[in-house]
Amino acid sequence: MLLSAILLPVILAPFAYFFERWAKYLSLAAGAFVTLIGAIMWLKYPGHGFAFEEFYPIFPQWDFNLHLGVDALSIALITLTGIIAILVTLSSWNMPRQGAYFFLILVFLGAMVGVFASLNYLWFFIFWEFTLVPMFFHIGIWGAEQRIYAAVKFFLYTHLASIFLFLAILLIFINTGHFDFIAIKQSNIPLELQKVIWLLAFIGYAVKMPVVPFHTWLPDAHVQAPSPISVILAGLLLKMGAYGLLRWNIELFPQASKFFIYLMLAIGVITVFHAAFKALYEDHVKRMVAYSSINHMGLVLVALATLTAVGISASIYEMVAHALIISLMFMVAGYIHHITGTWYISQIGGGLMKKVPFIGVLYMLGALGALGFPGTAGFIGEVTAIYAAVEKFGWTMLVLPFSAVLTAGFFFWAIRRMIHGPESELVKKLHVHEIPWVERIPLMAYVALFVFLGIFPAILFNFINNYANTLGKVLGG
Amino acid sequence: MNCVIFSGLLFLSFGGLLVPIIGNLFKLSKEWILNLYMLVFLIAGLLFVYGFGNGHPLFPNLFTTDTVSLLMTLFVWFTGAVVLLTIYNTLKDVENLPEILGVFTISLSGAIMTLYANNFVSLLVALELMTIPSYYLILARLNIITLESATKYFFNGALATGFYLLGLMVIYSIAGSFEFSAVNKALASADHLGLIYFAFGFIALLAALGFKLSIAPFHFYAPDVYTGAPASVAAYLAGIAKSAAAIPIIRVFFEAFQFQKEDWAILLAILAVVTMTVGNLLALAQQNVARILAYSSVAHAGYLLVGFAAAASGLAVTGIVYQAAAYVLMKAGAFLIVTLLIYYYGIKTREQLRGFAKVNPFMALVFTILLLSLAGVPPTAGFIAKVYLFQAAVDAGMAWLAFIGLLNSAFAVAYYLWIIKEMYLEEPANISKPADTGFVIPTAAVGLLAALTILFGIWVTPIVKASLAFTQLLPF
Repeated sequence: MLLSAILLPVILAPFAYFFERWAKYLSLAAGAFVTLIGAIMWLKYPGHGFAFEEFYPIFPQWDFNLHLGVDALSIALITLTGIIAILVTLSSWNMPRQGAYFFLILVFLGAMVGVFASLNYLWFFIFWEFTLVPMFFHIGIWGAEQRIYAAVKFFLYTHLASIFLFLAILLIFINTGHFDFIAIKQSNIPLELQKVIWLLAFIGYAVKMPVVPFHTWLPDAHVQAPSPISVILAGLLLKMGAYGLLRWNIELFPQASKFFIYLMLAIGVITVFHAAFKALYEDHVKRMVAYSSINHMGLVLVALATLTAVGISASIYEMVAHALIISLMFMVAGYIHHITGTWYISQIGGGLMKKVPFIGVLYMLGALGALGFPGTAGFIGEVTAIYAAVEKFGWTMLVLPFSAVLTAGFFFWAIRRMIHGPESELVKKLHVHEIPWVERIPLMAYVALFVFLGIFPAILFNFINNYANTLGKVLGG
Repeated sequence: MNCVIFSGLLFLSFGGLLVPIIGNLFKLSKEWILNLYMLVFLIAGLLFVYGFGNGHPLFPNLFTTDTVSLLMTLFVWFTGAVVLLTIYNTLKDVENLPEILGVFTISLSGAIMTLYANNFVSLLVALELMTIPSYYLILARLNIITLESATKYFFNGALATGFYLLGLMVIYSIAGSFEFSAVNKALASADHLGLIYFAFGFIALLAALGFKLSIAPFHFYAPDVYTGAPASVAAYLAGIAKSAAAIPIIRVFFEAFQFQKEDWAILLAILAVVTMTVGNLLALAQQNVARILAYSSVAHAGYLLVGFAAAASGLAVTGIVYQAAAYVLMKAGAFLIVTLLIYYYGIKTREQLRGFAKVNPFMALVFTILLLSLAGVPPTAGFIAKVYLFQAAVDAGMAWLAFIGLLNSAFAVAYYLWIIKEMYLEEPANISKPADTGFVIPTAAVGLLAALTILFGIWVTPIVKASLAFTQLLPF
């Protein structure tokens, strides 16, 4: 079943290329298929450990086997992958050169499911690295003005980071003789070596998440990418980093994780505030959202750094919430650029609400979600993350809510300057393009989903609680 | 070498000898000559496949038969057929095409023979059989550039042979035999003076074989020769000949000079670091696509050396074999694409490649796959080769070497990616569509090589199994 979720998109990909007219429907079907698989697994998941395991021996002597298996964490993220794939396809309904575009989307989707489902570290790395290739072309071909610079920087930067992860994987294999998650977990690696491996892998994951000081590729890549691809980058690619950190570092090496607890915390807190201040300073609509995205991932890292059950479930929740909220913000920022022809808030100069109320309302809803307004998923994510941090590290962590204040600051300031107010010269002259109804669906779906999750957080929390508790016990004991 | 393989080799070399004569006698057209060569390749290939596990061993003192040589034979043979096809397509206008193809076939039989060499003399014979015809191949189109290239290659080859004979002489004077196993035995019982002699011989051999692999500081000829020669010939020299030479070098290092494993590791590691860094840095500075690939082949020789430096690890041989097998496919394939680019589109530099994906999407895709494999991006054979090589380095306690190698390969991505960037992301320059559509068949053939790099990036079993069986034969 898991293998079909990886292979089906990849097999459909060439068809999408050659039958250009059907490409988007194929992509939609593949997204729906992955969502369906995710939903089935969600419902049938026995509640603990790895389930739905599949084992395809390729070269057992070298432990090079495609070992697939999922637990609550992976199922939640695979389902998210499917949903985001559907919504991204709808958002890209009118993309130029659809054959190639959806070919790359489908290939990416397969690799993405592979990342979340693989229990073999080498296969995980293969999928992980391969996701760079479609993203490179997506950014480079369909991106904005600086797309080529951004695409090359994205590829080189993340590839360079991956060599640290790769070295960590090699060290693990040399010392245990295994790539397999379960086998590595059972083998005894000396603590000192664990720390080295942990740190090397952490660099790889930190770049992907990204956290300060490894975040500089993100604003370029996200800003230059077309909006649907920004959604994929923010909604899925960044999750890979957090997922890898949780699964392959914290879960695998609890002792080493405890040693690096303050490193993670420090980086997380610095990320949160650095990104928030950077966003405050930004005049670029999309760049502001990109920094807000880094800000949220910083919070995910802070929640992970607690290494408690509460913190881990908070971080998973925050990952999902971030995917939904930031995706909406990226799409809306893209539409604002599309409508006004400029990226800069100061050039737009206010009054968008009168001209394009749909976009204005969505921008405000997204901003409310991002700053953690009660009733949205952002609120639950931030509250639980901050609660976990305070519980573990004491009252000093009460500085974290101030980042929400900063977020509120830059988003409301942007709303004040761009959405509200009297119509500026530029906005008055605007010739408004209607957003096609197909592309409206995903926008409203994001809002519906994050509000739904914000009102019924238990749906996600109940599902991942067992995972977080088990892991929290291991880390606590 | 067993008799079936040997008959396949004879078929290749005599085919190369006789087909031009038959063509002249019967006034055959060029198409028919190609068909005859393809027939020769087909029969030789069937014999090679049949030779797996069948046949009586021949000349046990000169040649051996093992899984790696059999497997690499198939790789070299298949890639050789694709190169032959491309040489035919891009040198069609040359008058003595039948002879060029014949010389190529003979040289290829030499390349295959090196895979089996078990003795310093048979290795020399095989290497010369591979190298001497290639001087003629470089001169397929006689002009000042190919002349320079052929002269450089000739003098460097002669120098390498000189070093080889020097080392051979010294080793023979102590061991009293040319056989690898006998040399190994003599080493085990050598006294202090004997060891010094052996060390001297080893260094001379290292220099000679370093020329063949284009290891720094013996790499200076490589870029000039590979860019000066017709690119299809460069595909043979850089892709097939170099990889084929890697297998006997495994035997020389691991079988004959077993003693060097720890003692020489640091020297080889430094050579590896220098070679890959020099290759990658110089490749970054190039404009000419063939030159980029030429310098990248120097860098790949460096990765190969990582395997030799990590000889203490049991994974090293697998890494070297995997790298050699992957390298045949991807390097020869990439050079063949360059051949087609030059011949059909007149594209030589990166800038001229702008927007090429819109002109010929299939060729661009094949080139992209091959470049990604060279860069070591999964799931390709190049990636698995790097996994094994760097794993061996970590296993041998040289994690620093693995780290430098990985850093190098990460920086190397820049110039491969740059070519891909020019093809896909930039707006098209004025690339005129060729009137001749003869590129379709060779491109499809190179596409097969690209498909194989992906296949062996996932299905690692055949190569790794073969090399593990081979490792057990070596005296560890």
